[in-house]
Amino acid sequence: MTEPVSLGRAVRRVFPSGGTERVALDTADFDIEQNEHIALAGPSGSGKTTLLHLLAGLDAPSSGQLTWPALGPKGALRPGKVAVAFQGPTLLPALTIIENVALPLLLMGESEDASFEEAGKLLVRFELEELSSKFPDQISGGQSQRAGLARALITKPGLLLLDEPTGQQDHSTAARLLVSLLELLDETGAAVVVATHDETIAARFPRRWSLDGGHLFAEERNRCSA
Amino acid sequence: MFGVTWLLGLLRRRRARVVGAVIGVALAVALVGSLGAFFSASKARMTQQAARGVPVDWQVALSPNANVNQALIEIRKSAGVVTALPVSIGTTTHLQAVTSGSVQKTGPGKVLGIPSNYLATFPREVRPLVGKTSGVMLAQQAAANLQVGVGSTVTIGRPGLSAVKVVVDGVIDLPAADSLFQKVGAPPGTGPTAPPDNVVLLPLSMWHRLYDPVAKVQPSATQNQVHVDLSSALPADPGAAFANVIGRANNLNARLAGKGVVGDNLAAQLDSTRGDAIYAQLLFLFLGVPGVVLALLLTITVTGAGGDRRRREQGLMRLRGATSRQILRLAMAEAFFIAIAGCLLGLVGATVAGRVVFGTTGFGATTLQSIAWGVIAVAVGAGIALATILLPARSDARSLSVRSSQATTEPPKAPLWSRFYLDFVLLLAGGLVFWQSVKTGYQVVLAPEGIPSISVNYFTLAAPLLLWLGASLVSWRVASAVLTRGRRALGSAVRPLAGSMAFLVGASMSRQRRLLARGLVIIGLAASFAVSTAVFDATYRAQSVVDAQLTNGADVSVTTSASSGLSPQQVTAVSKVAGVSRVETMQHRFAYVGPDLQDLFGINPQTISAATPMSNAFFSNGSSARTLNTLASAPNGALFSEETVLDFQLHLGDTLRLRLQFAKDHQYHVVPFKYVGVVREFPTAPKDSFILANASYVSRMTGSSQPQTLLIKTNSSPPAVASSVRSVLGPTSGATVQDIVHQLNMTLSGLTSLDLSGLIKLELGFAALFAAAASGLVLALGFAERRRTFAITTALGASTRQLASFVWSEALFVSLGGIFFGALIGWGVSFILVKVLTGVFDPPPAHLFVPWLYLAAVIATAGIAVLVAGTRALHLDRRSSLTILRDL
Repeated sequence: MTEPVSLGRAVRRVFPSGGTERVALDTADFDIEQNEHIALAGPSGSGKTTLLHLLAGLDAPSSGQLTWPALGPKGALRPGKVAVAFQGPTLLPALTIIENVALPLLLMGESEDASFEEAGKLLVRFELEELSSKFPDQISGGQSQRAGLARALITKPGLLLLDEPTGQQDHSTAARLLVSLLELLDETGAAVVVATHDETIAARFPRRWSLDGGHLFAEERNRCSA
Repeated sequence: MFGVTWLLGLLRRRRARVVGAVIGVALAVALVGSLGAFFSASKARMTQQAARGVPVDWQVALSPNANVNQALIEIRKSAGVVTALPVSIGTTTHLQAVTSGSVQKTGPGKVLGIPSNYLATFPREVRPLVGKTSGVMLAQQAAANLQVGVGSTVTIGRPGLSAVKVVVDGVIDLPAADSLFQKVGAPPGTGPTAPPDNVVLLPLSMWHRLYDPVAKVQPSATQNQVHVDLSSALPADPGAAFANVIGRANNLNARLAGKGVVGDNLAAQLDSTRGDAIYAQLLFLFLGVPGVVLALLLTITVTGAGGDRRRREQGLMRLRGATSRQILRLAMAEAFFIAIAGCLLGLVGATVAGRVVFGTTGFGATTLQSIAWGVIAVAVGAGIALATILLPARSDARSLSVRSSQATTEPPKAPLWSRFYLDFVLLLAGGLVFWQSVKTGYQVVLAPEGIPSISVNYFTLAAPLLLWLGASLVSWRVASAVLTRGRRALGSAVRPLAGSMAFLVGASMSRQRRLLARGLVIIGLAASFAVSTAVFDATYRAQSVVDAQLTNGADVSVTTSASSGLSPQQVTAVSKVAGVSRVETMQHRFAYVGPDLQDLFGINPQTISAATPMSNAFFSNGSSARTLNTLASAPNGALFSEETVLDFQLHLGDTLRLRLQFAKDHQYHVVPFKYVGVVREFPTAPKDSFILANASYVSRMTGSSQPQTLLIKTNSSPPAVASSVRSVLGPTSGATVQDIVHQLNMTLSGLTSLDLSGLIKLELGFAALFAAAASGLVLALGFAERRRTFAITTALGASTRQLASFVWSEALFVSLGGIFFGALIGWGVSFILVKVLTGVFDPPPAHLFVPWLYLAAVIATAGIAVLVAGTRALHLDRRSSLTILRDL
């Protein structure tokens, strides 16, 4: 039996708000198995981003226990073992597209040559090879989002966290992107949690979590993927 | 109401930007207000010192047929006259006394009749030395010549009548003999006349008894004067005070209608002071304007750093239906808030600075001046706030719709100034203005003697300012070029800090070149401001010492009048005083050059430098050693002033026939001198024309080797040595003993030199503040603008060390680059500043002086500010990255 990628028990996250507390995530229990694909649905403000940040190790729970048994301690998660692709533009404006994509490998201490070679391959995969020497403010929002996805995947992470990964793509591009993404995930064996409003995307993931007012509802496993 | 909500929001969420802008405005306001305080206080102090330094404000010389009492009534009616006293002057053919059986007889002299309250009314005119302060008082020089003291009988020779005998009640000194015995009403440019040495002061009634008969037989031997003390309530500005006093004197001249002529000593003193006041004004512009420019740039940088964010905020407001007018109103509210807060803070700062540095409570010498300077300072502050916030907001609001519809696909263009090579144009223009100023001999201020109007060449001011701005823009161009083209080299340079991230750090810095180059330039401007101010100050202070040496002659100097001198016994006695390491004798005579009477100094050119330093600036060829050797090799050689050389069309080698007084008959006889060089300044010599010659030749030709001046080098405290020398020579020797410490205090706070100490303290303080604020704020704001970048890098897994490599590489590039260019530009500007303001220096400095300690302190302060900014950026970015990430 393999260890789960992430395990949460009674995870609770509250934020101070004008002298009171706002509960973003309320005593959630969950576990993410290796190579598991999860769609995280819920209305705006339901706590999706908070949960993704907790899973990425960017934030810490106010109470409860959150661990990454298959990946190691929280301090060793990034760069490499956990990767996040945010909804908005997160490419560094001072770096070219290929430099942005190669950045996580460079942060891990990989050589420049190896990092840029790997980044180049991913750019081809995401149909961005012609833009490799452009700067983020010279490409469109959709292209920027694809570059962000490539950057998240370059370290072949054990857990990939995506926030609305196709939010800025047109319908056909979104479909193509999703196919590429799932293929890549199968190749790497990474677990993924995708926060999305898009029901068509959510439907293609075997497991679905719903968040409502900070309460996490995790569906049973064994649903088939499309 | 929404404006208030908006402001509260800004204060909550954009506090750094608001506080930074308030600090920028406050610095400008405080600087202008403080400089206003300096400016007004300096001018007022100059006027007061000028008025205080004049023993008798007006000497009204009455015509022979004038009625003294009527003239007195008329004079006392003049505006501002506090006291007017009659003084009568008579000529004596000789003074004579019998001492120890031998008869001592002097040459011609003067006998003054003064009222009993004269000494109390004009205390600076007569300085009692020995005996009574009333009755018959003998001038110390006459007492020395006659070898008499209190109780001695002196015979006064009257022209055309028999001599009379008087008993000496006291011995006095006449410190202002030059002005007391001036030829009242002489046209401007007339050569000076040597004051008499043999002077007797008599009670007015006694004088009339002795000299009224003389007036009948020889009217030209007597003269009546009225000495006037004017109210010290004068306009604060020396120029205005000069015009005021001249106007009143002209009015009195008109009312006297030929019965008398006003000798305006106060106006003459104010005349020389107003030139200094103009230099104070120039210094205000030289040192103040760059400070204000710096504060403006700093504020622009602070407000500009939030430009992208403001544009995003404006875009959001437009999306929610806000009109351009509404957006502008919000910007206006922000600008007004920053203006009010900055101005209030700045005014408080200026008040504190004025009180601490100048001891003033307002910004000016009068309430009106305080209000005026307060208004000017506030106007500058408000202007900066409006220009840096409202104008960009207005421009953004207009272009927002166009901008938002366009994708930014082109790389950023070079700034407009760069494309039009404005930096080189400014440098060229500055160079041309400087060249023009060199051509005119750095004549920035022209204050023609006796004429109320002053000509100031403000155009010259443009030279250092243009060069400062031009060189700063060049530093921007160089920094941009290094960041653009030297990307790889940059990566290698930061490798020790960034390690494996070096390539990315270099790339990131290259991409941020606009921001980094701007930061480098601002720090460079602040550093150059600090360097130029400090170098100027150090040079000024060093020259003050040279000036003091020049005025005093040496560590200690002993002077007697030109017609008497010091005996060999006295010289020997002085040389034996404890603390004296070297005594150099110098002759001081008068010589007629054509019709001009000039001071002539006889020196030993080969030994003079052993007692006092010989500056190269003293001689027009720039070499003291060469000039003195030339003089030594030509026994009848003489050095003349430039004015004499021009006036008499002299050529090197020309022989001039001067007239000097010979010892044998006290008459002037022709003595030939060979023109061998030009002297500009010399210890104890006057500022106008004088002659320098070999003492041996002067002794041989005139028959007298007696020195009138001793230049003493000391190996202990000059004031203590001076005190001992005074004791050795005694009060009746007629010698004046002065020391350099006393003279330095006089020079630094005196009338003819500007008191820059307060201004410099203020400027150095502001320079250090600017350097710290520029380094800290520019970097902090740059980092703050990239908090999002740092947050993303953190989210990707960058360690603190990796993040720090970005922060410290940029910080080092900007601060070290800024300091490097700042030092270079500052040195250049101070060189030009010193050249252009040659008039402030007397004599001009041979080289610049660098105050290393202060500059090290400024660098340390800026370094601390950089450290704080970098550390805080790293700390905040770790802490606030989650908040930023939640918005992504």
